[in-house]
Amino acid sequence: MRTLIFFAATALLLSLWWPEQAAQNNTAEQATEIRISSGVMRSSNPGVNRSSFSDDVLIHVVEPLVVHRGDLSIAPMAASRYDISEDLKTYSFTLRDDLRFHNGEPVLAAHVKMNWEKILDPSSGFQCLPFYNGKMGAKILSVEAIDEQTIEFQLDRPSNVFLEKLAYIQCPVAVLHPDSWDETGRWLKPIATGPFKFSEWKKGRYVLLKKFDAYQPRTDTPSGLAGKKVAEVDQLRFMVITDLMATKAALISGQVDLSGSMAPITALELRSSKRLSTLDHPGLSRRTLLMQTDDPLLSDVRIRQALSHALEMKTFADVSSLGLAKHNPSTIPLSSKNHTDAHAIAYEYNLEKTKALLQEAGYQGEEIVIKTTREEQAYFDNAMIAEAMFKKAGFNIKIEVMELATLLGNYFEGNYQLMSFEYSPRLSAFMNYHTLMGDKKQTPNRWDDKLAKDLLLQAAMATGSQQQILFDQIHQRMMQEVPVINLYNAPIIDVVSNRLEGYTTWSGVKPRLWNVSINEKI
Amino acid sequence: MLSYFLKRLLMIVPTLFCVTLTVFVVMRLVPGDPVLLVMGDVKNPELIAQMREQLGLNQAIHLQYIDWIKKLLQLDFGTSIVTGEPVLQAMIQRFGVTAQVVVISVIFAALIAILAGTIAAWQHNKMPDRWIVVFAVFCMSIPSFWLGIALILIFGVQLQWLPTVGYISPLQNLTEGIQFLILPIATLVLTEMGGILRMVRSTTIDILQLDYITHARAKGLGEMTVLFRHALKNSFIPTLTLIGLIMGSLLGGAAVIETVFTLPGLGRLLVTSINGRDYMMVQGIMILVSTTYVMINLLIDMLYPLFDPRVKL
Repeated sequence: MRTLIFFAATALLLSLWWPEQAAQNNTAEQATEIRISSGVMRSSNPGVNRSSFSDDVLIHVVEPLVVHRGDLSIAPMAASRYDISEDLKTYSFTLRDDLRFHNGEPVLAAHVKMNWEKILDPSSGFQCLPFYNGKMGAKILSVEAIDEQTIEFQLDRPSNVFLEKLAYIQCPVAVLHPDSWDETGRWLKPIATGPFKFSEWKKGRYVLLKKFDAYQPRTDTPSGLAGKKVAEVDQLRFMVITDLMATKAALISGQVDLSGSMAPITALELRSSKRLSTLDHPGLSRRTLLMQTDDPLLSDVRIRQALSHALEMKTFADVSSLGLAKHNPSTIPLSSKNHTDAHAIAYEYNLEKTKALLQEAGYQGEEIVIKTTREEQAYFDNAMIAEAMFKKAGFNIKIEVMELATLLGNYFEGNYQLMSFEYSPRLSAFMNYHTLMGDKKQTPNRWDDKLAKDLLLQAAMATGSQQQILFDQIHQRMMQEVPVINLYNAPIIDVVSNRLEGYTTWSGVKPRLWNVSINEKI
Repeated sequence: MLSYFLKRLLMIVPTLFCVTLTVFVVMRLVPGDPVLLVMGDVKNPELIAQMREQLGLNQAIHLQYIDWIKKLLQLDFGTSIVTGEPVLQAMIQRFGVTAQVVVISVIFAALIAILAGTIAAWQHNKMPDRWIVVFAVFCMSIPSFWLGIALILIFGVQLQWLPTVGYISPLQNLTEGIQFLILPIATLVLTEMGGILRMVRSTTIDILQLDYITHARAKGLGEMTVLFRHALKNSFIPTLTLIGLIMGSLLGGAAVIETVFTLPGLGRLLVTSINGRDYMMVQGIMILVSTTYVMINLLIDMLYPLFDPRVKL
């Protein structure tokens, strides 16, 4: 009897199995869908409890007033135009005439004002609030709806980086409908203005975005996050796949169409699949060796300089990026227009100088630890290369490997001597330096140098060539003080199914799936 | 039996108390501040202070523990630090997926192992026995992640018969739901079967040498009746204990399989939560896992008299 039940159950299971349907991994809907290998999204509220994966999803749903173009310049997005007063204290934005929320309602300046009132409320949880409340640069004194289409910001001091802050990819200040919150103020979901609308979030499984049929695209050329955006497919599904092997299998078998920012070695491996292509682009994220200038040993600038002269910088980019990246000594990415010749000045590889500086500093072979993780291959590779070079130069160096969350914890607490680390992309020169500098009492992982901070403060208010000179001076200062050794900007490598048409990579890392269609014949 | 059951239930209380204390202390000892990890690189001291206050992290550790225990007693597991979702709700959702995979796997593994183990014992030291033992050792030796990846590469990538990522609940769509479960279940069946099989074989070999089996054969009973009615019933109790232990441990720790097959189960949630230092979620999951483990073993103990009437509880 038991055997009978067993066979009956097996037969039932087998009868339900239908190989032809299996690889579709889909519901019965015939909607065109692009599947993206993604991670765990923390929140759908832009700029609140954000993660990189939240940003990937939300750039398709929300539109800030301004965004970055592919060349990293600023372009209007939800706004049709913007005007800046001569004193750099008044910024006004005219909204696009045809801008509609995902619920069909037209966007008014009053909505934008309401959004800003929420953001500026300290209880909002908006992570980048210090950008706007005077803690990090100019303070917003008022936000006024001048008429139905015009919104005006008054700042307490001149700022030439206000637009860059508004376009900051990690904290988009989206234009959201009031129904995005319930009557008690609890966040529900983004009802915004982008080409895709937020449809379904199955935690731990996927986020589903659906085409916003009433979206009226801009007419200017698509570039970066700016310009014409057309949703060519019915839906986007961001699937939570946290295992690399599972991602590779899903790509090769056609169960996902895209995996962004893959390691060079993985991309190389996947290139052999007929179903896939790899696209690469110079990136903006910065792989570095952080130095804790408060450390008893490394507080001596001569030791830091000695370390910098012990490294043959080109090797890091060559080995870790398989030749896709170049050494960049500057905090400003190579692809930025602000990366002038002054930023090409690099630390000289000179072991004699290292020895002389160590002797002068009285280095007695004290141990120096490089913290790293194996969870990010490049972090580990860079630490290994650095260890070998430092040892060759006579340092007593040791690598300490830890899990990524512990490494990040150590980073935030400033608990390291040297750390192999990567700064996520910042699309403006100012924001790159801004992330590096600060008050060590509050942020122990920052470079706390009065001169450099003053220069950055001036750069926030300067324009054009004057601002560039200040950036150049900060680089010079950084080369003297060695608070960090910049190695290279990590290349962006996306692995894409050949059935996607129109997909391109860009320096801003985030995968952009507007203007991308599916070729059903492939 | 009722008094035994109640006594065992009461014994869960000190066990769970020890679990709460251990998990709470260990999570606080692990480096990495959850609030800083959530905040990222933009320092917002007001928000950090606000979050700490909301989460009670600004209190002394013993007060945090007392506060958590008080809430637990009201079945309030708190909310996730990372995603803000209620811990209990998240655990129940994910536990359903894990339970589905684990229970089906263990049932299949047990059925196959019992059948094969009994045959091996019956054919002791003959060719079928040797092959079955080799197979059992092979199954026990393969790491589950390796087997999972191998099955993905064969059935997902090469043959493209089965999906390798994603999950659809069989309650939502039975046909597709089952397709998503076949590979993880096959992996668990193969890796867990070996231990059960060896246990069945060794206990059945011992039983088959007892006098009452010789007596049964002398009575002229068929071999299948001797094996499955008389021998298996008496040799089953150690196997049942092992099945309980396997099920209990898998219900809380199928993280590897869930990660490889991207199943939204409890194990993967636990790993993600540990990485994000999501104190509330990790603590909640550990309570659930421990309770499940203890309850399953209690249930197994309660089943003993059904298989051996000599056992009195």
